[in-house]
Amino acid sequence: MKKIICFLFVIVFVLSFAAGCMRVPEKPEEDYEVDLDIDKNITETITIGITNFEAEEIATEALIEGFNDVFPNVTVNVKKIGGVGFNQQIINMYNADLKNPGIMPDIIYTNSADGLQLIGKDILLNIQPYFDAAQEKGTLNLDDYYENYMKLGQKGYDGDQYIIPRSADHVVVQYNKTMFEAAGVDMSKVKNGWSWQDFLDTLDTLKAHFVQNKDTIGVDTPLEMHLTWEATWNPILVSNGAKVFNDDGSIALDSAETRKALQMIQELDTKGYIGSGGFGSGQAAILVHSQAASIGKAQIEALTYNGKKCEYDVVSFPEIGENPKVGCGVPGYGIYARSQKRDIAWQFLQYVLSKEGQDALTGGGYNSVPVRKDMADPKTNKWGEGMDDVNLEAYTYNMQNDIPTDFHVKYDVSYSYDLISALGNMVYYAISDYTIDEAIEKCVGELKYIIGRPA
Amino acid sequence: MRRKLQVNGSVVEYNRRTFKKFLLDNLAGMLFTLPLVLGLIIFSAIPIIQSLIYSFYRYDMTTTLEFIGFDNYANLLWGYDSAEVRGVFGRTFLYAIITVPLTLVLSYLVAVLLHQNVKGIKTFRVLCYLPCLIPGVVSALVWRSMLDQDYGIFNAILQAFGLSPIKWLEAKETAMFSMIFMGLWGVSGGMILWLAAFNNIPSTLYEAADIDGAGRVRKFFNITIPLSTSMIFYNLVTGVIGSLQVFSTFIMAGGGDGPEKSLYFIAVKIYKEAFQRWNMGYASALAWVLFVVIAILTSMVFKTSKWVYYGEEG
Amino acid sequence: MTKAEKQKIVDIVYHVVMYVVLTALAIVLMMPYLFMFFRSLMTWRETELVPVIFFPRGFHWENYATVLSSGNYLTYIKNSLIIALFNTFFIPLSTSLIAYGFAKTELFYKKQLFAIMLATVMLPGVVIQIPLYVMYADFHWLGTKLPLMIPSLFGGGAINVFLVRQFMRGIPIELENAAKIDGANAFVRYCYITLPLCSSIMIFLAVNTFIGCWGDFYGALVYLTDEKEYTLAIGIYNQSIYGGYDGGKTNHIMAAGVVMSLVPMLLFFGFQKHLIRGIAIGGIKG
Repeated sequence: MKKIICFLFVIVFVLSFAAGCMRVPEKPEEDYEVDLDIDKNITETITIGITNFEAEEIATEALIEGFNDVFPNVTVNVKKIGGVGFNQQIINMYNADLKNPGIMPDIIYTNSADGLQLIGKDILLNIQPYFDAAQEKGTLNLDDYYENYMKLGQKGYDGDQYIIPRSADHVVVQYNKTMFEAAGVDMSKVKNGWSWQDFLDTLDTLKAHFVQNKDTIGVDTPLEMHLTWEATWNPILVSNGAKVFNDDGSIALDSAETRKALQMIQELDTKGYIGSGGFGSGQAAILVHSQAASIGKAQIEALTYNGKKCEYDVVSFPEIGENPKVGCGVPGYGIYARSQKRDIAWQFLQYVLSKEGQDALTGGGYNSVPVRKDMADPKTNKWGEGMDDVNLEAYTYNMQNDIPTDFHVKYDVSYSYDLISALGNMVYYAISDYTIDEAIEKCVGELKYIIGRPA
Repeated sequence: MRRKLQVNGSVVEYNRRTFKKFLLDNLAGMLFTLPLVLGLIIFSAIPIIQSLIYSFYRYDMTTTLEFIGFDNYANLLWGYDSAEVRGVFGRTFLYAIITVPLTLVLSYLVAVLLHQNVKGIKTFRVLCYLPCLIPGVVSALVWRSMLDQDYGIFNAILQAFGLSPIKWLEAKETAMFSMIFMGLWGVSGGMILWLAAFNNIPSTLYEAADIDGAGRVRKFFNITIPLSTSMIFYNLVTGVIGSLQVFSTFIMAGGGDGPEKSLYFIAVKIYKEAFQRWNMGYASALAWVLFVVIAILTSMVFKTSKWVYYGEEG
Repeated sequence: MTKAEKQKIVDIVYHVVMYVVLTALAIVLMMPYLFMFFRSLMTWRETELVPVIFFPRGFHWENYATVLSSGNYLTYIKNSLIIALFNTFFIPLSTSLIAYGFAKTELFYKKQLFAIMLATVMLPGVVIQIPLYVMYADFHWLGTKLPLMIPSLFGGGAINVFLVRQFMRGIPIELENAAKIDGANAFVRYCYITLPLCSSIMIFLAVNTFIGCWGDFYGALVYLTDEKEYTLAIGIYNQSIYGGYDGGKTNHIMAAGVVMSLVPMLLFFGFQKHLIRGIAIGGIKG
C-alpha cells in the first residue's frame, strides 16, 4: 500500500509541474507605429474601464457623447469595475486577459497615485510616442496645460507620459457661509491666499459658536478635514520644509520641520476643531477637500441653519510659511498596453485633453477644474456656469504651489502605497494617543520596514 | 474456484481472470469515487504542491519570475518581515485561544437555558439561532455599524448608563476585544450542537444518577461532559482550524489592518501579500508556514484525544 | 400552605424567571438583526444622528425599493442565485455519488482514499488559494463565475461526504442485496434505492449549500472582477466600504443586508427540522 501512495504522490508531483509551468508574459512592445490620421467616420468599438461610482459614470457618459460628435461611428462601451481596490481588480483582469484577450478595456481610468502601480506592472501603454507625434503634427500643444499636472501622468512623475490628466484636482477650503456669518467670523480674513493663522482664528470663532449651539447642531466640532489623507498632510509637511527621504534615499523624517508640521496637525485635533460631523449634513462648517464645487453647493443649499437657507462658498487652502504648498492630484486615462485599438483609444484621450472634451466633462454635472491653462477663468468657461456667487478662483489660485505626494518616487512603485500609508499612520498616531516623537519614531520604523523589503 | 483452476489448468489464465473479476468488482466503486479522486488531484493535491513550489520563487504573475531558494522563508522567519509575521501569528493565536474555549463554554450555558422544559422553548431556540443565519459579510457590516465610535449603538448604550464611550474598532487596545465580543453572538451555532448532544445522552443515565442523589454539578461532570466529548473534540479541532484562518477582520477593518495593525491576522496577511501586493511566492511561503502550524496543532490535538468517547459503535 | 401549593408557587416562579431570562437572551442575540432592520427603515439623516437612535422615527419602506432599483442589486442577486442554485444542485449530487461509492461498493483503496479525503479538512483554504488562482487564469476562468461553480462537480467537501456516508451506512444492506439479485447494477441501486432513502440528508445538504454559497465572500472577492458578475456579498461590501453607487448610505446598505439575510432565514424556517437534525448529526458524528 505504501508503494501505491508513493506512486500517487509522484504522479501528482509530476502533474503539478506540468500543469503549472509558471510564466510571466512577454513585455509589451514599446516601439510601435503611431497612426494619428484616423478617419472621422471609422466604425469601431472600444471599451473604457471606470470605477463603479455614479459620478464617474456620469462624467464618462458626457465624454463619450462629446467624443461621438467627432467620431460618430465609434461605439464606446463602459465597463464598470468594482470598488474592491480598483487597481487590484485591474491587475486581476489583466491576469485573466493575458490568457483570454478581450477582457481588459482599451482605455483605463486611473489617477496619479494608482497609475504608478499600473505603469510598474506594464499594464499601461507608454503614450509618449503619441505625445511626440501629436506635438509634431500640431494637434497637441503642451503649453496649454499646467506642467506640474501633466507630470503627474508620467512615470515617476518625471519621464515618459503614460496617463493623460483629466482635470486639475486641487485642495480648497469649502465652507458654509451661513454658519460663518452666524458665528461672527471676520469675513475680511476669509479670502484667497489667507494664512494658516487666519484659518486658525476662524476655527476658533467657529468653535466657540459650535460649543454654544451644540444642541441644535449636534456636535461641537466645526471642521471636516481628513488629516490622514495624503493631500492634506503632504502639503503641510512640505510647506514646513520637512522631508521624508534624503536625496540618497535615506530616511530624513526625524527632523524639527516634521515636528513643527505635526504640531500644526495635532493642534487641529487638540483644540477640538476636528470631529466626526459631516459638512454635507450640516454638522461641520468647513470641509477641506478637492471635490467639485457643484457637489458641496448642492449639499449645502439643501440645508437650513437657524431657519435660513444655507449658502456655500470656497476659499483657497491656507498658506503656510514662506513656501506654501497645496495638495493636488489628477484623475485621468491611460491606454491598455496590449490593446489592439490604441490608435482610436488615443483619439479619445486627445479628445479629453481638448477644449471640447474639457467642456463636455464639466457638462457632465460636476464642474471639475479644467487641466488647460487657457480655460482657468471660471467667468468665461463652462465650468463656472451657474456658480457666479461662488469664489471658484480658489480652485485655480496660485496653481504653481500645487504639490503632489511624490516623496515615494525615489523608490520602486511597489512601495508607493505602503509608504504613503506609513506617513498617514504617522499623522494618525500624532492625533491619537501618541506624542509627536513617538509618532515619528513609529513611522521611521515602518518606513525602514517597507524599504527593507525586496522590490 | 478450485474447479476453474482444474479446468483451465494454466496458472496465468487463472490470474488474468481473477484480475478481471477483481476489476469488475471494483469498477462501480471506482466510477462512483472518480469525481472525488479527480477533485482531490485537481483542486487539492496539485495546488498544494504548486504552492510549495511557488514558495521558492519571487513571482507576481505579471513581470517577475525568479528562483530565490529559501529567501522567502528566511524573510518571514528571521528576515525583514519576521517582526510583522510574529505579530500576525501572535494575534491570530491569541484570538483562537480566547474564542474557541469561550464559545464552547458560553454555548453550553445557552444550551442549558434552551434545554429547559417550558412551553414555547422551541420558539426561543429558533430566535436564538437566527443570528447564525446572517451571512458573514452582512454581519460584519452590521457590527461595524453597531461598534462605530460616533454613530454606533453600543456607545449610545454605554453613555445612557453614564459610562464613557469605548473606541471599539478604532483603537488598538480594544479592536481585538471587539472582535471577540462580536464572536460571542455566534454562540448559538455551538448551542445547537450541545442541544443535540444532550438529546443523545440516554435519559436513563440521569435517572440513575438522580437515584444516587447526584447534584447538578456532578451530573454535568460525570455524565454530560464525558458523553459529549466527541462533539467537544470535533468543535475544538474545527474551531482551531477555523479561527486560525479567520478573515472577517478584513471586513471589520474596512479592508485595512485595523488601528496599528491590531486586526491584521494571518489569513488577511496572506490575502494582501498575494492579491494586493502580488507577491505570490512570498504569500505561498506564508501559507505553507500556516499549513505546517495547523498540521502540528491538529496532530497534537489528535494525539491527546484519549479522552474522547465515540459512543458504542466506535 | 400545602406541599402541592408550595410546589405550584415554585413552579410559577421558575417559569417567570425562565421566561424573563430567555426573553432577555433572545433580545440580546437578536440585537444585530433588529439593529439592521430598524436602520434599514430610517432616513439617511437619522442614521447619522448623534445621539444615536435605535428605533426609526418613521418607517421608510421605500429604502428597499430604492436599493433594489438603484445600482446593480438585481444583477448581484441574480448572480448569487445562479451560483448558489448551481451548487445546491450539484453538491448534493456529487456528494451522494461519492458517498455511495464509499458506503455501498467494493473498492480496494477505499480506506486510503477516505483517509486522504478527511485529511483535506485540515488543509487551510489559503494554502491552495494562490495556485488555484493561477490555475483558473490558465483555464480562462478568471472574471467569470466558473471558479465558484465548477469545483462543486468534484465532490462537495469532505465533511459532507462523510455525513452522507454515515447516513447511507445506516440503510439496511438487505435492500441492496435484494435489488442485486434482481440484476440491478450499482447505478440503478443508487438511483432507485439508496437515494430516495437519503432524502432528508440530501435536503439538509442542499439547504446548507445554498446558505453557504449565498454568503460566500472570499471566493467572490478573489475571482470576480467584472461588476456584472458580482454577487450580493461582494456588492454589499463594496457599497459599504467604497461608497459605490450611492455613496454607501447606511440605511440602504442595511436594507440590502436585510434582503440578503432574509433568504437563509426563510430557508431555515422552511426546512427547520432537516437542518437541526443535520447540524446535530454533523456535529456529533463528526
